[in-house]
Amino acid sequence: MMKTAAGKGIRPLIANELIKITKQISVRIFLIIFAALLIIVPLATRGLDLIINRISFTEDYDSYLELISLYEENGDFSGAAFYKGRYESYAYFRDLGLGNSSVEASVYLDSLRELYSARDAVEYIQAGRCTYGKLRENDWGQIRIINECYAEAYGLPAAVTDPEGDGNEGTGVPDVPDDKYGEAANADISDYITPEVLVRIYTDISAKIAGIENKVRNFDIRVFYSDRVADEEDNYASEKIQLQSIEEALKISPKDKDLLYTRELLKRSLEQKDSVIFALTHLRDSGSEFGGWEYKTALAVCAASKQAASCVPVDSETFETDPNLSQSFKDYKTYTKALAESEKQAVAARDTGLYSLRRGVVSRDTVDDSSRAAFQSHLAIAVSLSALIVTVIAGTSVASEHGSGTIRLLLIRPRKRTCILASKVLAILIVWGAMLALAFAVTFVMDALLHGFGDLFRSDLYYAFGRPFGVVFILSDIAMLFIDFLSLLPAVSLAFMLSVAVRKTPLAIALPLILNYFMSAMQMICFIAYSEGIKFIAYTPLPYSDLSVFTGTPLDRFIQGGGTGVSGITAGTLAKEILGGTVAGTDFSLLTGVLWMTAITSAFVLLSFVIFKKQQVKS
Amino acid sequence: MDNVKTPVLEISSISKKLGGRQILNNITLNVYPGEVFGFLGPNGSGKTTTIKLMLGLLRVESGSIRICGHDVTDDFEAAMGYIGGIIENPEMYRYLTGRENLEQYARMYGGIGPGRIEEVTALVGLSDRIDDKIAKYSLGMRQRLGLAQALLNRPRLLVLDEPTNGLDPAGIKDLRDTLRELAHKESVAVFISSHQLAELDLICDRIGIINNGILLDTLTIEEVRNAGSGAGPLITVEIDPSTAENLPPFLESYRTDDPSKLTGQTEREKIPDLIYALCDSGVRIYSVSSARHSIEEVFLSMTSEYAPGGRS
Repeated sequence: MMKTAAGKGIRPLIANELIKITKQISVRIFLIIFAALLIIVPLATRGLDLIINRISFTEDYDSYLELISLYEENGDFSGAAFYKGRYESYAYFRDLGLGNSSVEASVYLDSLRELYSARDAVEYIQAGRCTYGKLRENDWGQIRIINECYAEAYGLPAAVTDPEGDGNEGTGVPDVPDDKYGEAANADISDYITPEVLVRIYTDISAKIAGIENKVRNFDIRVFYSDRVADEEDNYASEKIQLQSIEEALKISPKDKDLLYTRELLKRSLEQKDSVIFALTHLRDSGSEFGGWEYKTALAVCAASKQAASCVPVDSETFETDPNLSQSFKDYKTYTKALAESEKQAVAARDTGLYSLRRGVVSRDTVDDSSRAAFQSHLAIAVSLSALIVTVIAGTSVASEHGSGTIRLLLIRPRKRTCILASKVLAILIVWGAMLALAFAVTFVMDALLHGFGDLFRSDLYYAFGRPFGVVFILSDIAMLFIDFLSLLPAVSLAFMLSVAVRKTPLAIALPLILNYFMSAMQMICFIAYSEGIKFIAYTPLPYSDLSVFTGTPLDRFIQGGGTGVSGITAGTLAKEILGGTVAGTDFSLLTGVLWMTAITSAFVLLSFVIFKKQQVKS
Repeated sequence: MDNVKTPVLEISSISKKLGGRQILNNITLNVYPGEVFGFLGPNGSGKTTTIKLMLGLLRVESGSIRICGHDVTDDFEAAMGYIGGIIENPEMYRYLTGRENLEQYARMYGGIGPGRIEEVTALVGLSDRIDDKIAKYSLGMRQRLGLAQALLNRPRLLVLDEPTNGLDPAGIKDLRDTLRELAHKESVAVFISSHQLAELDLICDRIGIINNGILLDTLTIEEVRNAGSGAGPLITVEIDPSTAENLPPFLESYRTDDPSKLTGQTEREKIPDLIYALCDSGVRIYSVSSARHSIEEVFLSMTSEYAPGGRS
């Protein structure tokens, strides 16, 4: 005869719960759909990529011909020239056997396109189909180039460069303005465009085109990088000379504010040059792929270094008199603080980038067509899908026992209620764990099949505790998986708590899902609120519904946005950056989020236990 | 009844309020090993509430309930080890088979092997259908499975709430036989709540009558039978009405509204004399039977006597 109930452990209870979960038809259907989606999502995104690629690769350039004649018929020769330029530039690369995504095209396509278009515009004028004036009225970008060529050949007439009319108007004496790309580009030189001038402009543009075409034919990526290194080295040398001359000038007037400020800027710039030159030299020596992750990282290092160099505050008097600065910042103190912050971020980003280049640890979103990126994004989708199903399971868990009346036969066994509920919690976690493991394995295999192993096993770049570091792939994936999991735990635990407390399955499922949706909108709202000065919001749980947003490195900002200037730290840009997923340097932190999500989950689970223990089964 | 035995179930001064309404009022009763105790009451009288308190589904707020000496509140796990039960309709997991359902509960006890599951399945006559899903079970089959799960842990106290719901007459007879066997051969105490009085009549050793949360009385089945007086059994004599005029004068009180029927109470020893006297005086007798009191009579008389105020 059964004597006591002691010493049976929780494992049989967990087994019971696992059977209950997995034998339910609805759960089985969900699990089958989940497994199917694990296969379908990578296939679908890959398919979409291929379709998009095919569309962009097989672009029917001949359709431009129709556009050209359309614009010609309408008498808009600037538009016609614009599309003619496009057509010719694409055709040029096509004839060379180079695609639009080739390195050469990436570097030279835009400038070639503009030049072709300008030359075509000149041809239209020469053919008498349109005039310079008309072209200027409805300019699609050709006037700037025509004017530049004119300015280089003749100089712009004084009437244009000197609107007050006190110069050498109409003499034709070369008088090239300082900023030939500024004023001259927009000037109206209708009166000076003669057939002879046109021929000269035409020849100029053609020469420029020939120059670029020559560069394209002789393109060498190492030379390309070498040129950039040489540019920076020249820069360094000239800045050094500049600094020397400023030091000299300061000997004469040691208190000149402008000189002091410029000296500080130059000093910082020279300090940062090492990083810039290192990054570019790295590209040159490694022969890194153009547009590859090293290229993007090196450019980000350059941008970060330049930002770090520019963070020199003006003195308070200048601040007060500069309308731009005093408008952007509340007071001088805020301004200097913002600058210091901006410098800190830039330096952190620079160091992260340098670490990345030195160790070969790739920063996120820098590799095109990366199997690792595909794997990570597909895994993230799988995790949120799994959370959806687990929310249903958790919401059903206790409520369905009440609904079906089985709770009565469940609770009359020699088992503590705490133990019974714990077995439910653990069973849900086991099912979730199994789903995640399946998601991991299937996604890995799918992406390996669809994208090849490629960079699937590479380490990821992280930044924490004030320094960058790399994490090997499996640990990094587990960390990301855990972070995604933790982001979704509060909703699941809420579903479970409601399942216990309210005992109504639909409510227990619907409310957490609605709340989840609401919270992801809340994250955006919090970022905007933060950038509007409501800083404490970063310490509330509200912005932390998706923790993966907070895993970026300071480098991300420079890879994505190209860096922020001094005046860039305004509410608007900050909000845009945070929304874009870059929160480095703000009060938002992954740790705060992790703590909040853990606390909320614990509270819900604890509440479930307290309620379940005291609950009376009345019906 | 053997009052020397220690009770399996001791309910002492239990009162219970739910939602501000007094459901139970100071209930005290004991149930002993080997007896079938019928717990009778109209709908809403507090039968199920009492059972839920016994099984720990509701909180005991005043008084105490002990099962085999273990308090249901303070020593829940030990107490539940001795009890098996069905509360209201035995609802099972519809997506599991009968066997899988039993396995669920078996695992919660520990030490219950597949052999015991076969045993209880056979006992309730479900062996053929035990591997079907519950969704395909009839109400009667679910009742049988309910009994099976209640017996899994070889309980000392078997608590059954309206166990005959949905059972066909054969099923009811089977249940009766099973319970009697359990009680009388294995000394299991059986606590049955029901409002179907005729069924209890055939099976209970003792009854308790509850109305409006008050336990009106507990009676042995003998006490039920003899309810009304202490003067011995009630007998009914069916006679030829045309000979009724010959009735001896001392039996005048036996006359009823029906001229063919005589009823009255007499000592057992006097019944043969009574028959002689009737024959002698020329009354033609078709049958003589002892008309015993039924639980139903007792129940109806008590519940109407005490309703609605009841005694405290």
